[in-house]
Amino acid sequence: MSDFTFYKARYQSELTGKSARDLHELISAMKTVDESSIFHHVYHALLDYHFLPMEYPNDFAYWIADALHEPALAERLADPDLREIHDLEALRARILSIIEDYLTTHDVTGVAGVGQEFHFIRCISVIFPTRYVASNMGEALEVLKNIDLDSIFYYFIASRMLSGEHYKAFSHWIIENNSHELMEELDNLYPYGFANLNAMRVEIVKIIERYFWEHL
Amino acid sequence: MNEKRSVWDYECIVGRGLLEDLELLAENISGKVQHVNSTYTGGGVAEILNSLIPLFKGLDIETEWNIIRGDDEFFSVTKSFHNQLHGRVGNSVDIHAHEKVSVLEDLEREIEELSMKKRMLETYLYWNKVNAEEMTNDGDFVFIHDPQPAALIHTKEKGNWIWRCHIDVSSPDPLVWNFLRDFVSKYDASIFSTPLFSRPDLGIRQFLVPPSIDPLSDKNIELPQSEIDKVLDKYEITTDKPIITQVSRFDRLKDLPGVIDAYKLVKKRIDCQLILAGGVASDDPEGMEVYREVQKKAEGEADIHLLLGSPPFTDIEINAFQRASNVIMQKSLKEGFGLVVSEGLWKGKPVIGGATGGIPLQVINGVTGYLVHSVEGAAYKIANLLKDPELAQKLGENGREHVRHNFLITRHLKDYLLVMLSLENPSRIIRL
Repeated sequence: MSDFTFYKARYQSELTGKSARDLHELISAMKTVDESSIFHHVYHALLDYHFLPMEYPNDFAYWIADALHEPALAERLADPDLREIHDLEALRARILSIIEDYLTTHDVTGVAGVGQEFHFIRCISVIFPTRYVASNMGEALEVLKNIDLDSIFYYFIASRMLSGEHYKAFSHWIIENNSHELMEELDNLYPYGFANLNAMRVEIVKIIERYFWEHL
Repeated sequence: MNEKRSVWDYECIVGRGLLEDLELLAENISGKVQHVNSTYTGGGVAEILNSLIPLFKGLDIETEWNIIRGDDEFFSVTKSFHNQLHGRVGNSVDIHAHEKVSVLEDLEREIEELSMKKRMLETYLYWNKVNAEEMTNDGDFVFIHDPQPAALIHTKEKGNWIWRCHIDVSSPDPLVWNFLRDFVSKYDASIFSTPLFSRPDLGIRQFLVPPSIDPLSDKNIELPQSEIDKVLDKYEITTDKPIITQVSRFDRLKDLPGVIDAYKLVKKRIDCQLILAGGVASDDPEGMEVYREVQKKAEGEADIHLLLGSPPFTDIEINAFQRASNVIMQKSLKEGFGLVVSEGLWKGKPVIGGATGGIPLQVINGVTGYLVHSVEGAAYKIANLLKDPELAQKLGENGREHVRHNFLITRHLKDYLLVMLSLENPSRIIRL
C-alpha cells in the first residue's frame, strides 16, 4: 500500500471589480464572474472563526438579508441543498435559479445603501503538501483527528469543488484499501449541515471509526 | 533595519499550522522584497513594517525598507492629499475648493487657489523625483505604501510593483484621485484593506489584505501590573476611578472633542476619568493645531488626562494606558482601518468605536464592543460597560479571539506571501 501525503490550501482574496447594489445587478454579475468567486462567496465563511452560529452560511444570503432586507430569499439561499452539486457551474446555476424563481413571485425593489454594495471577490488557491503522511487507514484516521481544519476544508470542500485532484487521490487511496463503502459515506458529507469545520471533522472521524468497527 | 525575527516566536499565540505554512510559502519566493513608505516611526504603516520586515528576513527572504524624504511643504501637501482622498471633516487646505466658489463672485480667489493647487502638485512631483534619483528600487517585489511615494513607479525597471493603499479611497476628491491614478494604474497590482476602501477605476489587480498588529511588540506584549503602575504614576493617573481611554493622533478625523463630550455626559452619572493620549506624526503638520483645540476643550476638567507624546510616548506607555483602561474608545468620524481598535481588543478590553472605515470589521456590535454614531450613543455605551464589568470582560475576551483569528501580524505576512506568489503565477490555482 502506498503512502498518502495530505495537502492543504491557503486562499488569497482578490477583487473582481464587479459589484452589485440590487438583486438584478447581483444576478447579472453572478452570471459572469469566474468560478472561484462563486466558491469564495458560498464557502469561505466555513473557514472563518465564529463566536455564534452563522445566521446565514454564505455571503449571498447574508447580503440579501442585511442590505436588501429580503429574509425569505436569504433563507432559501442559506440552505440550497447542494448534495447533488459537485462542480461550481452547477452551483452557480443552482443559486441563480433560486433567485430567479423568487423574482417570478416577488417584487424585490431593495437597493443597498452606500457602503453596503456586494463586492464580488475571487479567491486564489495556493495548494501545498503538509507534513502529514499516512501509510494505512489507521494512520489516516489519526491524521484526520489532528490535521489543521484548513486541510479538512481543502479535502472535503475545496478540492472537490475547485479542482478535484486531491479529493480524487484521497478517494482512490481509500478505495485501494478496500474501503469503497467508506468513500461513499464520505462522499455524502454535506458541509452546510455543520455548525463549523470542527464539527465536520468530528463527523468524518466518527464515520471512519464506525466503518472500522463494522468491517475490520 | 537588519534584525531577523523567527515566526516561531509566535507559536504559543497562533499555533504551529500557520507557522509551518509561512515557512513553506517563503521557500517558494525567490528574489528581493522592498518596502517604501514615508516614515520609520509614527502611524500604523510604520508600526506594521517595523514588525513585518524582521519576519520577512527571518524567513530568509532578502528584504529592504526605504523611506522617502521631503521638506515640510511636501508633507503638508501629502497630508492634504490624504485628507482629500479619504474624506474630510473640519477645516484645512482644500485644494478642490475652487469648484465651490462662483467665478463671478470671486474670480481672483479662484485663480489664487488654482495656482496654489498647481504648486502642490509640483511639490509632490519634485520630491518624488528627488527620491527617485536617490533611491535604488531594484526589488523583485516592490511594495509602495500609500500616496506619498506613489510616483516612484516611474523608476520601475524590473520586478512586480505593488501599491499598498492603507486608506479609504472609495469617495475621493476627484481631482486628487485622477492625479494619483495616473501613477497607480501603472503598478502591477494594488492592495486594499477592505473592498469598501477600493476603487472600480484602477485597471490593475486589487488584492485584499487587512492590516494587523504585532502581539509581541512593546505596544501589545503582556505587561506586569508593576510596569503598568509605573507608567500611571509617571503621568499622575490614579486607579481609584474607572478609566476611559482613546489613543490616537491629534487629528480632527479622530473626533477628540466628541470623546470629551461623551465623557462629560458619563461623568455626570459615574465618577470616571479620561485619558486622551496621542502624538503628532512627522508627516502631519496639522497635529499641533488640533492638540491646542482639544486642550482648550478639556480646560478645567481635572479628570481628563490630555497627554501629548512629545517626545513620543514609548510603546510600553501606550500599552500600559490601554491595559489600565476599563473601556477603550475610537470615536473616529472617518478612519482608515483603525488598528488601535485591534490593540485594545487584543488586551481584552471592550472597544466603543465610530461606525466608519475599518472599525466595524474589528468591533462586532454587541460581541466585541459597540459601534456608535453620536456623542449620546457613545456615552450610553460607556456607562453600560462601566456599570457591568462582567459584560465588559466578556466583550473583551471575544475581542481578543477575534483579533487572534483575523488581525495578527502572522496572518498579514501569510497574505503578502500569497500575493507575491499570485503575481508570479497568474493561475487561480497555484500548486507548490
